Amino acid sequence: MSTIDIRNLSYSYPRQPYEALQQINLQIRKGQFWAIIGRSGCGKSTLLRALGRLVPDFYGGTLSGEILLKGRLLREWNAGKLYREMGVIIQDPEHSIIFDTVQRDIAFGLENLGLDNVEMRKRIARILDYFSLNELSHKSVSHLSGGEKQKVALAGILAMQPQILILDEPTAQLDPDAACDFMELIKRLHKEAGMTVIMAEQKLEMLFEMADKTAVMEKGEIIFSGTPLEQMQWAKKNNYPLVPERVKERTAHVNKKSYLLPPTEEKNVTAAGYNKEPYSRPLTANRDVVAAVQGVCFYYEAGITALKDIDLTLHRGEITALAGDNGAGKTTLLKILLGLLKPEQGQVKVLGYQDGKLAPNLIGREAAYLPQNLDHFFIADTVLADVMLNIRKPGDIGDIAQLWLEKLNVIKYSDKDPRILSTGEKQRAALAAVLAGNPRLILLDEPTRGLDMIQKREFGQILRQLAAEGRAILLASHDMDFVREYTDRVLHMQQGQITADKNSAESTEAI
Amino acid sequence: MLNNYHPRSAAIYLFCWFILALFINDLKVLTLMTLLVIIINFAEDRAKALSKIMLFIMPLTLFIAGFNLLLADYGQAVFYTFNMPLAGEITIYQEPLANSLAMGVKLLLLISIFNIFNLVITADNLFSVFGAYSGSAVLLAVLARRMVPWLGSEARSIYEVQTLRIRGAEADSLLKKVKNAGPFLTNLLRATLESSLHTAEAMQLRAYGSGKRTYFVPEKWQSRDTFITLTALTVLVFFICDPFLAELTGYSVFILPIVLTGSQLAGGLLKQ
Repeated sequence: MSTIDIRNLSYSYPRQPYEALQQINLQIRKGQFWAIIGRSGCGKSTLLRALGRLVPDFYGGTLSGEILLKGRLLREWNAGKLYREMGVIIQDPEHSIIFDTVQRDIAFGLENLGLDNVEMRKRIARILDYFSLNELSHKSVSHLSGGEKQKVALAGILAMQPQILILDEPTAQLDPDAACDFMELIKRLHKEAGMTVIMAEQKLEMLFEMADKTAVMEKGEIIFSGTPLEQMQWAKKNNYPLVPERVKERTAHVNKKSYLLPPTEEKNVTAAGYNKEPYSRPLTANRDVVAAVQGVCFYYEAGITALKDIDLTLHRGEITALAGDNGAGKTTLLKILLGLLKPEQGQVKVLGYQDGKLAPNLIGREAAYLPQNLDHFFIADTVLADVMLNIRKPGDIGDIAQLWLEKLNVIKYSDKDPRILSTGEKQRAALAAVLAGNPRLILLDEPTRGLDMIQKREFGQILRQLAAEGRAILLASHDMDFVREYTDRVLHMQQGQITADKNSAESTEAI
Repeated sequence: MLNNYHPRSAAIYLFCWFILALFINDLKVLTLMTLLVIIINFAEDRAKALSKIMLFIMPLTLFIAGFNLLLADYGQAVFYTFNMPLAGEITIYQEPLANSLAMGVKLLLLISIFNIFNLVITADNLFSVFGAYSGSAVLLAVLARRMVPWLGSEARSIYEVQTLRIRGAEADSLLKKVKNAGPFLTNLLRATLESSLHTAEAMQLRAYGSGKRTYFVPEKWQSRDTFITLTALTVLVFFICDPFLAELTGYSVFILPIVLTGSQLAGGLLKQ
């Protein structure tokens, strides 16, 4: 008998004309590892929310069909018993943690289950030990790194001892090392504790290695389900794009599961994060300096060093990446270039303007910034109006805006509120707004977050085109595959310092 | 430090301060209360959080007080007279001046009390105060409490991004600035609602509200809590029955904030 049995499940969000889930049928057996894959906005998160009983409870809308957990309808389960069986981790660890200290947060679920103090202490001690979080147990959550926060969120769920673990893009906010560690942890839980795992994830290389089964979703439907090997054969036959190149290459000489490299070898390849020859093009033609930073230092209020002795030069027509773990100082450096933060020491010269004098006059015109959280970016109520805000050329502003919307393939959303678009669409709409101002310098903070492989490819090609037009681009990113494929140069940051400045190919090999 | 008290007694104590601040209109008493509350803030976190809030609030307070003063047309005692282009002769009376100052000080006082509440009653403490009733009202209170520090950082981030874009749009005029506050507030409200929804989801996924809760760290009610609660409630009774008790005992309203502060100090000396 299946542990989870999904029968003809359909769901539509309130006031949405289309169904977010359409006639989903899936049988998940005990101890299986299911990978749910598909393009962003295809319904993966909605399916996982339905499994966690968050839709329709939290979002309203109409749900039809059935979900059975251990032969019993999901809606008939008492919440306490249900979440003892099933643990659900949502994308952003910031929102999964309720309390201020690690130990207290882990205890939260146990308090809700009504466990006595002795049992709570026993479970907390065991889970802290398993996750090697003992040293952090009394630490404030606000002082933890992204990876540590995600571990705490997982520990809080696992302390409730569920048999099923549901994870919605748990590594989306993590740097590559933290993501790798987290996936190793999930692998251990699956292998050692025999947990049933259902995971939606964009980092497919890691997921393909771990999964027993995959389900491919498109427009709310499951268009394929089977083993990863079957899926790759299906993908090849149907020309389905969402299979990592590295995994694809290995299918050329597969027999059963040998498409996977041994774990150690795999880890090296993943860390290197490349799948084909890196992007490289001669940069001798345009070497005009667009921005230069010399000896810049910046400290946070508590005296913590955010940036130390930063030297950096950005050239016209060059795509430069800032790589490094969370907290390495990437965003701080972008903000210094924009004049949002004033360095304690050193000099900043951007587009000929010295020491932050650029910001009041030319931001949005000569230099443009795309933040990590695109919801903060939009000002107007429609995509078209938002793009028009950035145009200051005399002439027909509407025509120029429409031209950029067409170029970035978001013209069909011009009358829509940009905040309701999908991540990829938002990204393109924001980029259209930025580019409509005709900037010479473009600064992007984690631009590939939330994008699927196809959207990343499209986005990378847009960047190349912009660089070819002579714009200087600086992007902060964790996504080493993207960096290698689409940037010319990588600056590695560690604890506020630039530790390496190499071309993309050298850089990813060096990692 | 108020942190050493049970959250329930700390909440009652602060509630008492809040009621006094709300209903007292005497400038001298309000000034005394503000000074005492600033001292309590200082004891909690060296007034770090308060000084940040004050950077925004002080100009606003001065603006409101000044505006109020210019528009007020009551009073007997003339404080100052001057000529303003277009408006002609403007007279400032002492009564509205005192009233405006009192309202300004009251605003500072209320914000200072709210700041102590934020420092002392954390989201964790709210569970200790109301945890026995794990219903939607508690959920709401916890979410609201969590929102306060989060809103600060989110507002800053939205402000930064939008400033860059609006600066680019050359929005220097006051009218444009006011107009641009709309999208800022829309984005902030939207982000707040989304964040609340995600936190509520996370709480649901941890079986919150599924039955009777137990406590990992049960907060202990100590003698100092009884002392401070009784003192705060007595102060409140005296304040509510003011005309009657003032006549009977001859006390002055000045004494109430001093008693409140003193009770916190004395409670700190009591054995745990």
